[in-house]
Amino acid sequence: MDQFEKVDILLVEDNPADAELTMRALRKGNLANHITWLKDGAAALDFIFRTGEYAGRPEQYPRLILLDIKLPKVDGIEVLKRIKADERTKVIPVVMVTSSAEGRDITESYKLGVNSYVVKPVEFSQFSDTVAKAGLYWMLVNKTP
Amino acid sequence: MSIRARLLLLILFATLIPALVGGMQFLERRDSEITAAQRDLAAAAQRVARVLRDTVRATAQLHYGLSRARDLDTQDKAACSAFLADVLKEHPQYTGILTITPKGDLFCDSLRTGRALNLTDRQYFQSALNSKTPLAVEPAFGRLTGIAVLQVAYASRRETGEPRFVLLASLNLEKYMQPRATSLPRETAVIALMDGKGTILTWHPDGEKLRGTSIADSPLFRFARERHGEEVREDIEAGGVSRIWAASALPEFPEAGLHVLVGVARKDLLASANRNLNQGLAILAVVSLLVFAGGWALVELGIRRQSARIIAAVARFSRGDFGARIGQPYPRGEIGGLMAALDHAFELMQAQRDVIQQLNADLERRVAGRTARLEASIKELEGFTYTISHDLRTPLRAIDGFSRIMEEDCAGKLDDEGRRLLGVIRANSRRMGELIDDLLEFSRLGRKSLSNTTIDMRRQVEEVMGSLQVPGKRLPRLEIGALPPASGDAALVKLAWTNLLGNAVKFSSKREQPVIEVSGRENGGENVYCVKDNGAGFDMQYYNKLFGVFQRLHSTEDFPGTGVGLAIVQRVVSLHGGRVWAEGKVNEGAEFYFSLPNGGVDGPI
Repeated sequence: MDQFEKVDILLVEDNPADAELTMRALRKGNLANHITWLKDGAAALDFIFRTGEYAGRPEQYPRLILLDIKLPKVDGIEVLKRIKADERTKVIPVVMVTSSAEGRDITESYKLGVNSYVVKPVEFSQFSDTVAKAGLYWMLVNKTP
Repeated sequence: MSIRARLLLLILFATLIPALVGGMQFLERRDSEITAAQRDLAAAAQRVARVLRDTVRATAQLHYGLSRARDLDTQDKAACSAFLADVLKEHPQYTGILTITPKGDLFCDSLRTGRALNLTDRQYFQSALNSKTPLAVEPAFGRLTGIAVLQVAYASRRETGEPRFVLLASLNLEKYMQPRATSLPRETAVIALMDGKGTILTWHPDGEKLRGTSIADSPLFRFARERHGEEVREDIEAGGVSRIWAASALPEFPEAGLHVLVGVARKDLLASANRNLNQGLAILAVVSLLVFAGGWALVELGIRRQSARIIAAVARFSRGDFGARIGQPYPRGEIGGLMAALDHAFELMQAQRDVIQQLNADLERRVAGRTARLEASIKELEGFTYTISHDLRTPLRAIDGFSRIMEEDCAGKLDDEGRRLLGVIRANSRRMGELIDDLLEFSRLGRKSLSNTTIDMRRQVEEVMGSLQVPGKRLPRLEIGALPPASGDAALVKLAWTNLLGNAVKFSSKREQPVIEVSGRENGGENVYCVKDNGAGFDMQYYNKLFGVFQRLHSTEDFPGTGVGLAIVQRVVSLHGGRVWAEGKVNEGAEFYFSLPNGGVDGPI
């Protein structure tokens, strides 16, 4: 079986420290079975829409996408826009996970149809809690039939 | 009052006064014409009297001549009667001429009737025979005809003085007066003759019925008897006709007592004068109208219409139509000068306005440019804070997160000192996170637009104090004095209260009996609010650092905090146009004051 065959959670995060912390938090919440971590927006789009590097991937969509806003190449807002514009992917819950609590980002994200918006707290225990809860909630909502 | 009304009044006065003077002149002329007409009337009466007198005298001369005629110095009655008949033919104004013997018997008779008549009892006969003058005059009515005659008797005497006979000629007054009536110039003229007793002898025209009647008791006869000369009298006759009378008499023949009355209808007498007056007034009215019309035309064309042009142009100009001009033609004189001057002024103002518009356009362009640059820098600043918010927090989270992981995963490999050091790392990373959050909040304040509502300050204080309540911790005693409502942005003012009350709670937390007093008062155009605590206080020496960002007068160990709270208070208050100040003493407490203008903020900033 290919490593991408069964993807539950897609994490798009350029900062490896944050990615590691996030994955640790998800793991602690027993959501770590199938996490795919990508480092930039372009890779995320390729992965989701099976283009470029991921052209050969079977047609299967993640059940939850955790998306940082500030990403290299294509930023999180753009990725969200593409996901929510496509009939095939727009039902996938997307949670914006970001360290920015800027009003314009929040407004823009909700306009584009984001399902949740999580500001990463500086303190690890809070961060861990928040990510785990958000992930769990949306995984439960979007159960595979 | 409009110019039109004023000028109209002026012209009216200018026309009316000469018209009045002219009218008075005409009235005076009418009066003098009436006087003249009355004088004419009196003169006519006098003329009639004079002519009658002359006629009587002529009769006397005739008698004188006849008395010397041989034809009468005879005893032949028939012959002398024939002679007198001849004489009568020459003088048809007499009804008869006859001689009377001194005994009173009728002798010669021009009528040649041969009648025998004794006339002794006739007054004229007695008077002619017995008075010093040989002439006697007496009015009488013919016995058969009823016609008034004037008996003119003359006593002829011999040289010895013995009377020869009395000559009598009867002047037919009816016939005699008739032409006098027609000779009067006026249609309604009436000429009447009466004797001294007021009996009407003749009345022309159409006076047969009045003949022989007496008006002795009437005011008219009294007037005739007493007033001779130029005076006239006005009588209203039966039928309402008013008649003006003049009278004259023949004083030369007092025994006859003759009075002449001449009368004309009043309207006839006044007709000419009135006609002249009406004509004059008509001409005056026409002239006045012409003068008025001329004056009005001058004023209308020269002043009113020109001022209307000026007003119209000025009105257009003042409505903002800067192209408005009075324009040609300018009439000669001051008004034309004024028009030219105004047009020139309009020209200048339009030019200046164009310059101002140009300047405004330049200014707007420059303002737009600067605004764009300002917006660009604000964007830059936003980008900067965004970067701080995003980028600075990420490494902190890593530091905190990995320290924690190290604590969890490597606990067995660390000794107590290692664990303490990790704690220090985590505490500091947390603190830096707080600093970044506060800094972001502070910088967000500068970009906020302010709303303006009435704020219930007491409620805000109570709400804030409620939110500061931490379970298990005792809050200081709160004393709230008078707190007048403020105007401003409720959220921001609440932020100020939060920071001030939070500080007060924090800095008084080490007192055994912490007390916070909140009060406010109106002071001129602003409200001043005060938060007083009995906490740690501060040294006034460092007052200038009190409200600076990240400035702290106490160590974090004693009192945690980032040093942004008071800076936020100051920014909030200054955004509202108010002031912040404080007083404090180390270990005795602090008082923080802030003022807010009564009217609130002017609008979004």
